[in-house]
Amino acid sequence: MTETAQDSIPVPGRNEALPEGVSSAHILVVDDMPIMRKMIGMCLHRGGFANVTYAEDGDDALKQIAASIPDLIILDINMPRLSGYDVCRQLRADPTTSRLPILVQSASETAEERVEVFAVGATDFVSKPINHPELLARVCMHLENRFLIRSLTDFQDRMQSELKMAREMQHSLLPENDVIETVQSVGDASIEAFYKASSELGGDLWGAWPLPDDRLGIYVLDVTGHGVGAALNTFSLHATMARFDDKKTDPAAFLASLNSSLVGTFQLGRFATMFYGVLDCKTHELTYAGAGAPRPIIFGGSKVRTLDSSGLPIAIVKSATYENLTDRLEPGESLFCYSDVLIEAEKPDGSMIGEDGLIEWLEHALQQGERQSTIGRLLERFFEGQDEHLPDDLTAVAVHRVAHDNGREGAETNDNGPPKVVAVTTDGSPFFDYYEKLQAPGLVVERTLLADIEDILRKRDHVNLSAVVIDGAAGFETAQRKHAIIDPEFLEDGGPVILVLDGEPDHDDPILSFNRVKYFNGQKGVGALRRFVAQEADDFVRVCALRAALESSAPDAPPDMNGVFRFASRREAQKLAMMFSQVCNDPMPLAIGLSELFLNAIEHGCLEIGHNQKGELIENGELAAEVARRRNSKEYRDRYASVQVQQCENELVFRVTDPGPGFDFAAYIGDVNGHEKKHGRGIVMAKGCFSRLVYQGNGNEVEAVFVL
Amino acid sequence: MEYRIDKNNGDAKVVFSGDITFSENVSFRQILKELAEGNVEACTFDLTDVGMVDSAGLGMFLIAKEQADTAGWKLSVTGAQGHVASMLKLTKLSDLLAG
Repeated sequence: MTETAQDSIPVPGRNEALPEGVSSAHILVVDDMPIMRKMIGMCLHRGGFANVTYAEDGDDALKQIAASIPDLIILDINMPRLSGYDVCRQLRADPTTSRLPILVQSASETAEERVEVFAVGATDFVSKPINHPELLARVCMHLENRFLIRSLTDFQDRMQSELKMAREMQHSLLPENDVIETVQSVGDASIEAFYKASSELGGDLWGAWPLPDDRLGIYVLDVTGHGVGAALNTFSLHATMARFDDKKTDPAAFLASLNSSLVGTFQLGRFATMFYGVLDCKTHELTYAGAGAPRPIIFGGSKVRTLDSSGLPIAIVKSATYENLTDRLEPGESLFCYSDVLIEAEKPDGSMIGEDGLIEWLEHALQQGERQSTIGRLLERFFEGQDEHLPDDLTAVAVHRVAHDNGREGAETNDNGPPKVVAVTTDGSPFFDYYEKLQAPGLVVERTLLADIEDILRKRDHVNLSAVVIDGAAGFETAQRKHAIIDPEFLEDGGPVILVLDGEPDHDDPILSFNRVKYFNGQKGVGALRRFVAQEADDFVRVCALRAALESSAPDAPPDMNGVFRFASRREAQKLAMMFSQVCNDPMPLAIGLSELFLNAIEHGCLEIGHNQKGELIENGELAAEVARRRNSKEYRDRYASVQVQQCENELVFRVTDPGPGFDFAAYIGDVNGHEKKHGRGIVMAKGCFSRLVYQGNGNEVEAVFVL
Repeated sequence: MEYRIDKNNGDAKVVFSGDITFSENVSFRQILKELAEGNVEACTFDLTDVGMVDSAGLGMFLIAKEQADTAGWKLSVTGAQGHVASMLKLTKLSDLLAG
């Protein structure tokens, strides 16, 4: 049907032409009377709508809508078979049509009917006889609303996806794993890094790089503002850094160069705070310069101290200068850099955490376990008091330098020289070169091929053998042959055997069937393997030293037992418990109590077997199999529990910590009938063995005091 | 954040209280607008009652400073203490905003 200008009806209150999306909208007219369909259709055509289709009744309408959803429906109420009310109800119940504009038209018009029309979900109402300009005005209004909402939603979706993309891009600027690995091995350090972009997108970034002459550089920065603007400034700062490779050994010059190239490119009021430090890993000297970043903290040595990172932020004043300051980062110390959200966030009581508060938390976290995981524990506490959505990006990076001396962390040497690791590999293995690089301070590594190992084992004595590394890349059978050569006495003593896997095998791969073996995914890199092996060797050396001390000590002069001991299997747990108990004249009570606590830490903590679940497993005789399955699974494989032993005048304090979710200890500990129950019996037994037993945290920390 | 503008001929004093953070940028712009329209010759930001300022807050001071320099009036900041004082010192903006 073609329309002439004279035929067209003007839409009331509207001068300009309909937007294109509106005039080409698809309108479905539903009426059982052909004359009404024709009349409404003509009215719409004259109003400029060309895409009009018709349905004869409710059924027909639903069928057509199912085939193609229109932009608007003009619906008659009184129709045979399916009424307009029913059509409304059905359309509203379907999520794809729940927001479709429905314009109801009806001849009878009581107040009740109008209420009913809106109650079943109609968008609007026009009464018959139809007033053409009114119908057109209402159709236009609802269509325009629909298109506006649609384009707003589209716009919002696009913004969301762009923000997400910007967040991902910002993430991609963080240092890659292989760079971190390199920096760790240059610095003889482990890096603990956390980065969480806020939902609004902030401008945090950190990075590290190796530099010539055994040096490494590390920076943290925070670009002000939120959203895509802040992210863009971060990208531009990151890109600018690459232009000044020649300045990277001189922190003050590096910051000055960044500043002078970026002044004028950031919007007014936008800037970046930054810290950049260069560590000479041979002399342990740290040279650094600050541009107003939060003050980094050095801890792990005798005294916690902060570094002066004051300075004009980047991109404010063209002539800003920066100053190189020096400090030292000794082996055994850690450098901690972080973004301001960590000190500016609120504590549960509403006060700001502040630098002092952060240092206090850090010192507490340091005491709670190994130095290399201090930041993780610190952040755990931080997040307990925070909303899920942080107001700003969070960056927390620590460089933990490995301790070299015979201090509490290092592998101890004895009269027979440093502990040794034998690595059994195969020619052509992807990890062949790893074992050369495994060498760590205080640790001697011998690489050998399977064919040579018997020769080597014959030549050497086992006094200092502290770990065996087996290359499992060639598959189960080769690994089995290598494993078979290991001295049974070494295995019996609990000597660690580390099987290096090429990737993550399926759960039914026979290579996962070895007993008393620790699995390591070699693809994590040589640095990670070195730390893993050094830690295992260290654990073993420590236990051997304690065992020797206990064996040779006089009954009334207990040996020094202070220290942290890790354990990952039920066997290791029991061995440790038996060993500690040797300090008593009557070892049984302490042995029983400690075994209970240690086994709980393994089963409920490391392996997360629930109390009820454990009961069922025991009843079905499946506990051992389930424990073995979990121990070999990727999820639980790398988990350890630890016990910190503290010797006071006449008492021994054991603090057992596991990585599990904890449990409702109050329910067990206060229960006098616990002994009669299936679950919680162990805790009551342990309680009887110690003079004090206190659960802490979520129940994954327990302190037991034994009076000698 | 809350603020009050005291005016005495050409001298203005903006007394802030609460925290000055990113979320305050709308009201901060309002302050700058009022100062621009008020024919000020000198203005002091009194931060005595401000408990906390974040980097976006510092950025707003810089915007104010820029506006002052362009329009030819003098901006100074006084009364900062605690976290606010240490932030100004850490970023050396205390020198820049000293007046």
